[in-house]
Amino acid sequence: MLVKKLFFSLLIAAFAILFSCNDSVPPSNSLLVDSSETESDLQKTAVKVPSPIELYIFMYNADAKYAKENLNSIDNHSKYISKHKKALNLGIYASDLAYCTVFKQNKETFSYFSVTKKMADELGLTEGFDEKIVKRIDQNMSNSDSLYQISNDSYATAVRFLEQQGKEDLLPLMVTGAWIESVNLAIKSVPKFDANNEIVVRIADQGLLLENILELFQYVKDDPEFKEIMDKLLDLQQSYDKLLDNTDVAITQKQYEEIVMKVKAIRALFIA
Amino acid sequence: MKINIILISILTVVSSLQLFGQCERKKFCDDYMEDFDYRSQSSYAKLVPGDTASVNVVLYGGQKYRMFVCSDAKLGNISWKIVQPERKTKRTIEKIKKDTTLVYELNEYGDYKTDKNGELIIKSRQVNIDTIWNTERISVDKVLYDNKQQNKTPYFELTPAKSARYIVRVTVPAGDPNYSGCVNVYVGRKAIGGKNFVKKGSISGKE
Repeated sequence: MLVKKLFFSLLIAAFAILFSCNDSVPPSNSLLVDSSETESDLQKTAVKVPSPIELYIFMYNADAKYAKENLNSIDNHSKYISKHKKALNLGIYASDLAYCTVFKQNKETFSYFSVTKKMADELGLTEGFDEKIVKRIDQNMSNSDSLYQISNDSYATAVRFLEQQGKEDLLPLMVTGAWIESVNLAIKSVPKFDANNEIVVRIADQGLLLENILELFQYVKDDPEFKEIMDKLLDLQQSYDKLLDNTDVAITQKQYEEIVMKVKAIRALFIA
Repeated sequence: MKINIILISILTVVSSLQLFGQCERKKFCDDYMEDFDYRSQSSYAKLVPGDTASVNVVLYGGQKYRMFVCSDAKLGNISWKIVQPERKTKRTIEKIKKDTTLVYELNEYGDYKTDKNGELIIKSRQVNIDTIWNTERISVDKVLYDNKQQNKTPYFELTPAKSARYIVRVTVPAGDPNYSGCVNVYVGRKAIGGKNFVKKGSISGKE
């Protein structure tokens, strides 16, 4: 009798999980379902954002200098108590980790991997920054190329894990944290504005990524907890929109300074 | 026996939750991969006959990209296109705003300082007159690749001069609605020039 009851309880739980997933989880990896869809005409959109690693490789190839002081201090991690702050700073630390691997800073790579893993553990991410990766890092501590590959794998796996698990609340936050950190590090690597500087042009390109990031927030746009972040990002998008009027250069000094100010302010709020 | 049924039920649920991950691990079109890095923006999905789906990506200027779509053979001949949304914007003045800009204190590294509550520390206030624009975005799709038109080249390669957004649109032909299969959209990137950060061949397209 007891076994029978247990069986039915588990069966009900199983159906509850399955049907709750059908309601809340995108029907496939990171696919956002259009609200106007019908069953016979499914319209699904996946939104992807290039990994910050791509921007760091570009900066490295453009002879940008590594600057440890521009990273979010590892000591800050204990300040992040709420789930939102943890998710944002998981992205920020993952981005810093990628920066360290691209610039071949093996000692910092280990420190930033440790703090990233800690944040991931606290958020229940079981893939990406996990024990398997710890082992790979241990085995490759002196090999910069391998550390880069490991960090690249970890970031991609963590993003896909969030997509597949339907964690629509954590995904945009992690991606936003990683992205804002990469733009901030790119800004810090530019000593003086020059419209022809290739890193400045890349910073101007970030408006395209911001557009995709804002699409990631569509799932949570009605959640008041996300309002402050979305408002800040929409305000930054207003500044990027001004670039669309440019004809001769990708970005003017005034536009650049406005974007720099907003990026720095957003990043400061995220890491506080 | 009953315990076995319970275990099978639980395992069924768990395996259902794992389905999405299976597509990522499925190997399709290995021959097209070559030494591009597919980790950043590839997308793996489980679709059913009649589905249409799209993947929005951003490609950086000056990098080489290879894109293709491969799927479970049982889904039939998938149609896919790569389009570039040509964005046209129309800006109209919404209002002229008189605003106070806050100037925040910076630390020695040029970052904004925050107080113990995590708020930015105000240094001074500046009055600005700013024009608030209303931006209307109109997007017109320009088809760059259509696998039904160019089936001799199973993948699409491009090296955009400028960074831009692209959309991969996929249509699964109608068929048995009870069957679902994996449709994987691969977006591979290869850096050009620079200091060649990653040694040639060390980026794997096969994860």
